[in-house]
Amino acid sequence: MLQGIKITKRFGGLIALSNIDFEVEKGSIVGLIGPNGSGKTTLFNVISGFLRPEEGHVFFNGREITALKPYQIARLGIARTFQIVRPLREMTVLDNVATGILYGEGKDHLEEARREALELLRFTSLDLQKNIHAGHLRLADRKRLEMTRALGIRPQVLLLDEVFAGLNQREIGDAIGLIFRIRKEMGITIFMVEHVMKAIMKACDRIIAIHFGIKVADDIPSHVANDPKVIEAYLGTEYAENGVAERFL
Amino acid sequence: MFNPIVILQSIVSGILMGGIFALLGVGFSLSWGVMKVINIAHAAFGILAAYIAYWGLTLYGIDPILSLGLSLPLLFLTGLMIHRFLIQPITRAREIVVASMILTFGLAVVLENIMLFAWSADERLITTPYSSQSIFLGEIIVKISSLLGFVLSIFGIGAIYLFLYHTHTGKAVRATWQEPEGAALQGIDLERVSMIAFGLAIASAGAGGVAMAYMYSFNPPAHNFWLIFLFLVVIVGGVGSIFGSAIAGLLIGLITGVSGAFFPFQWINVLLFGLLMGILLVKPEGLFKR
Amino acid sequence: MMSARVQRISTLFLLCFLALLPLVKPPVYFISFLFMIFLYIILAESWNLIGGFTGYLSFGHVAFFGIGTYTSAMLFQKLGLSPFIGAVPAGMVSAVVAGVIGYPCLRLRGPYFAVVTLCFAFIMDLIVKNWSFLGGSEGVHLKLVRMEIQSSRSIFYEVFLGLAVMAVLLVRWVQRSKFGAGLAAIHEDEDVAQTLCIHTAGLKLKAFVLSAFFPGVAGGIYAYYISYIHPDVVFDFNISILIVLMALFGGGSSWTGPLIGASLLSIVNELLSTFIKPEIARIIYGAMFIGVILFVPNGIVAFIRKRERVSS
Repeated sequence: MLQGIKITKRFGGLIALSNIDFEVEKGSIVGLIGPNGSGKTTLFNVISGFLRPEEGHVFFNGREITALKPYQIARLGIARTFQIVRPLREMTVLDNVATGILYGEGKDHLEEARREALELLRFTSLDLQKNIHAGHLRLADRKRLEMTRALGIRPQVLLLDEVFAGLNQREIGDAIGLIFRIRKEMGITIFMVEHVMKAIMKACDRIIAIHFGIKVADDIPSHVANDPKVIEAYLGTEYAENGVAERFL
Repeated sequence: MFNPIVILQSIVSGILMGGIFALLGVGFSLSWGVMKVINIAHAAFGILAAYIAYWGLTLYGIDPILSLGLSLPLLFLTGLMIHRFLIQPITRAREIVVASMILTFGLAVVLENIMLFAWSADERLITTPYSSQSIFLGEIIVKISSLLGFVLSIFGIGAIYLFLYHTHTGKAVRATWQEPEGAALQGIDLERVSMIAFGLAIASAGAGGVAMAYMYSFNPPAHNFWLIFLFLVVIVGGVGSIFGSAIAGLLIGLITGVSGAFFPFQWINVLLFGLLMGILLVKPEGLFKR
Repeated sequence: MMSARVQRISTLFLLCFLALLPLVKPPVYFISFLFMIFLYIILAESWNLIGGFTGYLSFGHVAFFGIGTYTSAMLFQKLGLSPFIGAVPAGMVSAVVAGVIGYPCLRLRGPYFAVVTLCFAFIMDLIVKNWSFLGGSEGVHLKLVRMEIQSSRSIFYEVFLGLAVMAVLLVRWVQRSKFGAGLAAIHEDEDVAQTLCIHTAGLKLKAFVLSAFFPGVAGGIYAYYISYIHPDVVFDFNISILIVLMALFGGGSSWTGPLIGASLLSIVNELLSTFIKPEIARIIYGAMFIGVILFVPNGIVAFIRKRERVSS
């Protein structure tokens, strides 16, 4: 469904992504891991149109989207969240989502969009806070809002950028539950960048690992966890030979 | 018209004017880049210093350069106060840069009209004993006072450079500007550093004003004229770049001086505004990447 | 706050009062004063579409007013077209110009957009001053209306009242529409707006073009009202920055802001220039800018609402 071929992104002399190939099948939950600065968010920025790769192509449902603008890619059905949450702070929670529904679904009336937004907020358990200004929410709710807002444009694919960062155990559990429900009840395919290893092991069907902009693994979670290259990327060469990853992951 | 002497003369006078642009531009750039304050009143403070120099000369016979002994500390303190009481309260505004533009516009109007009220709109000219003397480089005439103004500008830029690169506080200013959070973690008092940088910027405006007074007549509304050039200098040179603003100042002075020899005066303004607009639309980061 | 019904009735009452005012033959000065308030309401409300709503603060908006005056003046002078008809093409010309320069300029953020719009206004001023076809720095004289001043002033008054009402209704409609929601999103976070399928470049341009129309129309009629136009008057930078202040003072995020801001600040300006020496008045005028930014940066409406919330 979502496919990248030989994506290379350079920033001046720095190579952020090098010949990345990836594929996200319809209905799956795919994870993207890698140490800080490995290029994960850069890849998301390329997919969602905020960056243009120097080489390579991105395909969505067979159609090339590499050179499209972010709003065009959103209209085709790819939604995203941001690593550092960006709520529309002066607007209420309800309006944050309603705006997405207005433009994402092509609705024309504010009231109608607000009604649908409320339903979406019920789905993600934010409905009680619908009239609170988004800037006043606590972090976990802001992350939830970020996801809800992305769902508002009725996407086929959802790119989640580190939604678990900063959440406690229980909040992470809730978030994982929400992600599963999004897949199951809305049929949305999910591609997620994550750092919290336990969470990503539990949530994903497949995991892609990148390190210094190069793909080092692309497999089911248990294989990736034991892949020496992945361990080396995170912990250094000494640990790779001994396969101590599982204790850390 | 295409007399090489005329061209050379206009090049020389352009560079001399460029010195003023450079010094004023550096202070303006510092203010915008570091403190995120677009100080519309920058040139107005220069005019204030020019008046202090004028009255020092006219009433007490003190040379303009010496008047800096009063105006520099005065303006530095004024800058500190303005930053503390007018700028710091608005740092949390949604669009602080534009808010600062509106606020300093008000400040400029206040300053201009206080000066108008006190000293009227009469054009002032600084005439020192050596004002009428010039030196001759071949057939090029350079007035002594213009040269003094230029030298003052260079010294001013040099002083700012020394401060930023060779003093403890100056390095703190640079650190704050490049990486405010990191600087704060290092224990740098952001507010104090910003205050000092702003005070320095205003003081440099004063020096620029005196340099200007050596070469041109002035009155309170004159700051509007210089302000346009400041925007041009800073945007061409790159916001926050000392080096860039200095070079851009000289360059723009040069261009203005040379254009003056070929085009009628009115069209120069169109040229300048058009240039500013063009640069903004094509390369807003300026010609000198930071 | 008053209930919606009371608000509606009192607004209607006020409008009727204003519309019928000329019939009781008040002093011409008073009619002229209200006329100027209507003008600033038109300018500030229109500006707010791109400024307060979208967050792109144009510092050269007077240019669209000036373009309107000159378009209508030329249509009248060269083609004999009555300004009351010529004002509409004047508005359209302003809108088209806004479309043309908006396309590249709206790619700039914050202060750069402010500076580039400022430049644009100054360039327009300089071009008109130096172009003899448009009268150059001599200005343009338009034949005076052959009517006694009371009636002519009243006609202009009613027309401007109508325009002001239209401008306010337009901005109010935008605020409550999908268009307005999109602009608000762009204001908050343009990248996020894109991820919500909003064609940000297109919406911004639309707002900018719309914001130039009524100032152009108003300019078209104003030319005839003062019967002598000069670039220094109709491209005056002070007008640009005053409408920014009026809109922000009232509150940029709502249609009520510029209305209140324009009304209040016009009254303040008038009081200042009547009772105080010019230089002092200008000092206070400058201090107003400082005061507004320091104390009511989100506008007076928001300020009052916050007070109410705190005390309740």
